Amino acid sequence: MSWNGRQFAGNWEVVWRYTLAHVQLAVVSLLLGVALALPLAYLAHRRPHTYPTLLAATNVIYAIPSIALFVLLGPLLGYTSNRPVIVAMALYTLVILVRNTVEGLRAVPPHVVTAAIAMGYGPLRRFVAVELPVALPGVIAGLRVATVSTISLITVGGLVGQGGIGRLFEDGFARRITQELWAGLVAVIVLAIVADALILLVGHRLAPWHRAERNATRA
Amino acid sequence: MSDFVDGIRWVTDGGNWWGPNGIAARLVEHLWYSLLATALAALVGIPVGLWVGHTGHGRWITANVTNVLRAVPTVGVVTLLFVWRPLTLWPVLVALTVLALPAVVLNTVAGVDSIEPTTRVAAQACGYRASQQVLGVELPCALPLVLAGVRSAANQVIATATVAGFFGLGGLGRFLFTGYGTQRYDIVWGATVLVIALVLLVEAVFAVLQRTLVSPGVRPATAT
Repeated sequence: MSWNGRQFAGNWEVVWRYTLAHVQLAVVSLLLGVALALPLAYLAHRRPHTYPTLLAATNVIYAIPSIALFVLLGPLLGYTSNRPVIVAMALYTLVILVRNTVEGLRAVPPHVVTAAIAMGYGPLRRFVAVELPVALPGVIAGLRVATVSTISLITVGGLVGQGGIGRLFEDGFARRITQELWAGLVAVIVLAIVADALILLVGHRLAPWHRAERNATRA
Repeated sequence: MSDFVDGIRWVTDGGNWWGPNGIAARLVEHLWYSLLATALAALVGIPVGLWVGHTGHGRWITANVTNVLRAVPTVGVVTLLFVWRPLTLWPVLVALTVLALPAVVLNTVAGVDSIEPTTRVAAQACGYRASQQVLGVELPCALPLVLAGVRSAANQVIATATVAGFFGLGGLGRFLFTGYGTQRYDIVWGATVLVIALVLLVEAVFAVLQRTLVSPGVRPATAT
């Protein structure tokens, strides 16, 4: 399936298919990123001396160019599959997610933690049921940034034959079809804005007190 | 793992460094593009951030515009501008500047916001004009966060400037793409090590800047 002609008309289907593939890649990458970030943040919170090393490590990973990361992950995950792209994106999100989660956890008021301990909450249950929910606004803020940049960054996968909407850039560039490039650019930006708004909405649902507090301070 | 060892060998082999396609030439190109884009972003982003922080106007629009800028895919911008203006530096420069702007603007605003309100009121009370307040008080006090923003922007730019290699514009990305295309994974590893080394070097430069530019009176506020 590829772009027909040099105009946009008649290519809705193409853009839509690649957008769906893009969404799929982004969702899996972000879920994997969160699944990696939470245990790491837990570790950094419980053992503060590991935090600087962890931050430095996520920074170095973030400094690896995406193309290089795809190649480096290739032998482990298969050069021709989309797994290197997914894992690379998940690793990039750590630089934002780990930091935001740990900062959020550190901002949990001590009396809340003490109360949880006094009520007999063990370390893990306390983390899941008390600390993480209270830290949620920070985590959500990090997730929003991670989501927007992941959706934008996945397009690099197009240069190695993966990556949803990125394929439109690769093909549009190879065949010099300006309309295809525009379509891809707009699709990525719209997708990112919609995803951002969705997370914002879910965040308000999950942490309604945060909005109440913000409105209170603004009034 | 042997690819990694071969990569190190490739970097340390002096024969690969010189000549028009050598590591040295590509490294200089890479640094030059990154420096231009980061400087451009700082030149635009810091004044905008200072203005927003000082006046308090345009906060909502800044938050949304920077968010949209973050969503702009670098590859998309480069391909589109490249078709329009092939083989010039503009496509890469514009795309990298767009990439760098959000971090610079948002950190500058956050920097001004982090100043104690009494400090800013004191400047007003001393009869400072608006420009004196911004340049004499707010910028120096916000400097740690401003520098942090430029640093983070520079890191992203250096890693992403490799995209230039795909468009025949050189830089270290050149090695990544030829290595990828010809399955010379030792070159990919070697170029990656060089990019990471560049990022660490820039981190070190900013650590020095942080120490020399930030006034001693402001330093305790340096959290990040």
